[in-house]
Amino acid sequence: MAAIDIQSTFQALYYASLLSILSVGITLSYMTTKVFNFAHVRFAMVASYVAATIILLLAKAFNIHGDFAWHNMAGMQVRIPLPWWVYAVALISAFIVGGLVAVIQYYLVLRPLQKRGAGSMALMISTLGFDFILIAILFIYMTLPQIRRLTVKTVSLVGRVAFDSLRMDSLDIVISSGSVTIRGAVILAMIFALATIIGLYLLLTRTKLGVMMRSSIENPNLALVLGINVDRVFAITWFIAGAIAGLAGYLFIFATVYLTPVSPTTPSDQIIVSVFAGSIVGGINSVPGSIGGGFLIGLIEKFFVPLLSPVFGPGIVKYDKVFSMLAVALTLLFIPEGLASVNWKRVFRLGGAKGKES
Amino acid sequence: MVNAIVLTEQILSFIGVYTIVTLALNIKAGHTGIPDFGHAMFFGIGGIVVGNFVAHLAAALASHVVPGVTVHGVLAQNTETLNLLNTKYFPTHPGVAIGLLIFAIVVALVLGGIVGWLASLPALRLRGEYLAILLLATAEAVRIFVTYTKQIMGSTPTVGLATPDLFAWAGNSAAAATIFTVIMAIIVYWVFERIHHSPAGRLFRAVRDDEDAAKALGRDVVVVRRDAMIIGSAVAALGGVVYALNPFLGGGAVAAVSIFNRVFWTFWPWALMILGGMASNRGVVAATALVGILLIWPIRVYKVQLAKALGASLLGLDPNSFGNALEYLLLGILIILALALKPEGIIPEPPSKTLDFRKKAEKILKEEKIEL
Repeated sequence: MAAIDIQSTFQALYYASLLSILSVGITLSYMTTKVFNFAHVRFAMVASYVAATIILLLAKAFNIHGDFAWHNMAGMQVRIPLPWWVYAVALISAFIVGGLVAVIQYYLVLRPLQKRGAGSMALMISTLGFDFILIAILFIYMTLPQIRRLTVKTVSLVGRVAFDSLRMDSLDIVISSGSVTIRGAVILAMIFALATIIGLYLLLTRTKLGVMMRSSIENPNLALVLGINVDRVFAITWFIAGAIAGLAGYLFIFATVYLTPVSPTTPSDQIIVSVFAGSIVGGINSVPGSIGGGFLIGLIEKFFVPLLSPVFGPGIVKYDKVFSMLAVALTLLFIPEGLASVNWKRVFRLGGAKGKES
Repeated sequence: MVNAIVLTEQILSFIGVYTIVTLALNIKAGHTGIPDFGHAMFFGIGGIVVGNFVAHLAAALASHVVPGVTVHGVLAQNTETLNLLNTKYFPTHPGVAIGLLIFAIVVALVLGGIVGWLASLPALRLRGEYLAILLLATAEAVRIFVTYTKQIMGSTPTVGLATPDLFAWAGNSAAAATIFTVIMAIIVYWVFERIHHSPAGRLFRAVRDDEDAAKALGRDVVVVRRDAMIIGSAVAALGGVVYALNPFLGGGAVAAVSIFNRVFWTFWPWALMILGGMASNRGVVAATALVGILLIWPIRVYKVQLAKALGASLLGLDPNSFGNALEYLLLGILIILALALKPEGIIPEPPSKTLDFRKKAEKILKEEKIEL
């Protein structure tokens, strides 16, 4: 029953890092606007489409590899590493595009509605509406002939449907030693997650902007009195949330399963619910909590559930999301403010006393 | 070119099923203020009732009549068994088919009610968006569970189960299914109109508007919320039955990916409800009709022509794919515009019809023989 090996552990860590990067954005936008943003994962998708296009265009424009087009049309898994600056340009543009889409949503949809006194439910629905518009835009984008020429034909295992996607697994760096192969995207995801933690920590505690952000979230009226442009601070927070989603979008390009092309019949990407789960389990009003929560949900789905397979049979792996949803239900019912709100010192003292009994 | 009758049937089926599902959501979210983002979970129950329970029952009844039909075969050889039932059994047994139809409706209402009641248990503790997310997560967990459980949805999640054609005896079964859809929608509308103007409906809205006031007047808020969840969920399951039996909607099969799809059966009803007007049954019907006609007629049927008219081919876009995207563009823009420009909806919530005090007063005055 070798359910756990190094490779699947790294896969789990990759997924967990991805979720924590996305969860923190949900939390940041919830803290400022008090709305669960259904469009958040779509920011990542927009960013990933743009970044993928940029990689392909740069490779083509500078004729970095003559056989690049051939590789696309044949859809073969030929490894063509590109120079580092191509990836860097794509990463930066994913970061900026993700942030810009978020700011557009804030200024075009949420801010006007809030000014009209829309309730929290109305705001939530409006994020859905924005999500629908983004789906439509991505879908139209994928039908552009200029983009179609760049895409990779992928054949889905279910139903044998061929579709165009901007997935570029083959451009990923692979570190292999013996039977273990670890993909560059896995390492990169963990680096991004760490960078997000450190970056946000430094931003929120060491910079003037961070102090302004915290005060605007804590008490917008008081912040306004002190001469802080709360509106702009919130917009910047949204930019940061979207930009972090853009990082996740950059990872999507090299992922195998998470970047499914948008289609009118299956627009719902599976990951958004897990992202909400991470944000809620960790604590919807806590930035470090949401990072931890996302990581925890990722580990539950991809690490702990496979551990159960010797007991319940290998079929249990398919039900992985049921367990994370269970975690959400338990969190909301018993500690609605999430794991971050728990007074851990007290719990451990109690737990220590109880631990002796059991 | 599309046949005008088929087109009408398509539009009517769409409007019918979305009227049922959106009205069911309206009683929960619009009237009582429960933000149910797990609506698809109740809708899916109706699909399971038809695709699984009714098919099993029909196979049990037909196993002595039609050779080759076995109860075991419903899941093991789903397509073949259902094909035999639909071609050899239902056309000659209208009584059984109608009996099964009533069975499906009753079972769906009861099961939907039970699941709604179970889902209402956390509603006692949570409020607002927390409850919304909890219900969303629950629906997602149910969806995943159903998708991969072979005993419920068959062995291939994307294909699902073929549905019994309970209108096979009617000659044109598609037309019969459409008429059934419309009749169910009218009944559901009538019932919800009655509830709207009944004391129960006023109580729902009282709980939504001011929980403390309702409490102060001696009402058990928890019970009221529970009742709304039970009614709304039961009717949503009925919508699932209607969907599964209508070839224009289900296409002769139910799959977990379609009946538990949160975009189609949670988000779309929400959008239609916002557009029509929260707690406004008439508004919901108007919005459903508007979107149904706009969506089916120009966008789904004439999407290629429409895309060309909008200049898609000038930009070099594939008109077919562009047309598909228009569906989402339309809905997204409608939602945001409705929220920004008409947050109360196309037809705002009508005032409750209460006793006509003037008439009542005149009657009393007449009885007391007092001149005004």
